[in-house]
Amino acid sequence: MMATGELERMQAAGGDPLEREFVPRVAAAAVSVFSLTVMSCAVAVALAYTVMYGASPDGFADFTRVVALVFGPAALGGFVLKCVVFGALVAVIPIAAGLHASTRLKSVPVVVLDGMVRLFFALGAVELLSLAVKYI
Amino acid sequence: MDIEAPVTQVPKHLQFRVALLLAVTLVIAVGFVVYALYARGVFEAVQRVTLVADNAEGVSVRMNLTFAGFPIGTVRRITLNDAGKARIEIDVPHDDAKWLRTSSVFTIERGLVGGARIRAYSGNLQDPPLPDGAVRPVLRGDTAEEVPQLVATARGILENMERLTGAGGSVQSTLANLQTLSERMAGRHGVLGAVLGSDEQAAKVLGTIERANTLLASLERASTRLDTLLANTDRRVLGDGGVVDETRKVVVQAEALLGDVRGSLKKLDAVLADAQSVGSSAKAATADLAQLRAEVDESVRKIARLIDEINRKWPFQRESEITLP
Repeated sequence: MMATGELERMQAAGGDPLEREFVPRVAAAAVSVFSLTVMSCAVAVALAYTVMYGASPDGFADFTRVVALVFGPAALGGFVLKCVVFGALVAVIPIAAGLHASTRLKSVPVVVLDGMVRLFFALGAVELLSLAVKYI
Repeated sequence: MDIEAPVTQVPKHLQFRVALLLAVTLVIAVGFVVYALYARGVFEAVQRVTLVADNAEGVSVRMNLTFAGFPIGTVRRITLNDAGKARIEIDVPHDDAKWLRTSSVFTIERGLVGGARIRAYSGNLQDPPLPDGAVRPVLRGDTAEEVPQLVATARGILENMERLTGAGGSVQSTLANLQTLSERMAGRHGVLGAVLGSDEQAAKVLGTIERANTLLASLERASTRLDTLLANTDRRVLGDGGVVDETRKVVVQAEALLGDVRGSLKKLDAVLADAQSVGSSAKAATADLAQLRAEVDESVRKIARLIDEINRKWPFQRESEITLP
């Protein structure tokens, strides 16, 4: 949209691109990442139970005890916080990088690559920070 | 792009899918949080048991209290009391509290590897149940505490082994003796030389054995002669014409002689009867009597000789008395 000048035209017409284009995309990306994370976590938990105890419900008590050991308040809060931060970064960084694109179409791949690299390093930084908080 | 254009309406079915996705996501997220809280016992009624230990090393929060291998409680808090002892506060769900009785014993066991384990033992499940907030002492069995003693013992053993195997030690001297023994066994007189200590002693023993063999040969010859002697003796004593045979003949002769004596005595009886009945012809009878007496005396002498001969040939028969009729 930046390269094709749509945002400039919208701004020139008195429209607010932040409200019309950015906020919905950021919200959608955040919700998507949150949903994906929850789904993948649910699948991982179900898979872990199946691998350890099979389809039998007899291992539920032991499994619950292990879950209680793993997911303390701090671990659960940190996990939720990390998921939210990941979602926000995935939503914001690519779009913010897209705003740096010029009107030339050739600048689009460069901007996309730049956004991916920044997203990668941001996610890595968040992961390192969470590990540091956990073990230090 | 016309900013006045109406916002593109999302199709109904897509709205439904998005709403379903969001709802499922929220249900899963909230459900997992509730499950985690349930797992941590937030919704479960518990009773508190406090264990007092001299040393809580190896015990950590969230550690299990086990009964017969099953976890029935969780360590919630570890503190130090005013007496400097560790207070281990354990939450036990009401459903599992039935396994704990007033007579229950609690132990902390710690192996060489791994963490400590808190265990409960209930000897009699008929005892009254453990009340809420009970404080109990805990027995501690720490394998690691025995390690220094074990190391000291092992060091003593190693020192003994070093003393045994070192220069001048028992093992060295034993090996030297063994070597000497094997050298002697490989010598001229073999094992005998090794056992007796020198070849001279072995030679003496061998000479003794040779003399013993000679003596045995001599004894064998003597034995042969003794066998011959015994055979001859047997033949002389028990064979035809031997001592026993001659004795049997003498006995037969004695029986015949005794028959003669018996006849003479009968004659004597008859003569005495005649002498008694014929009193007047005493002189004539006396002459007959003197003749008869001479016959009797002769018979008695024969008997005496015969008895002497029997005694001589039959030395074991000592009864020489003869009963006259």
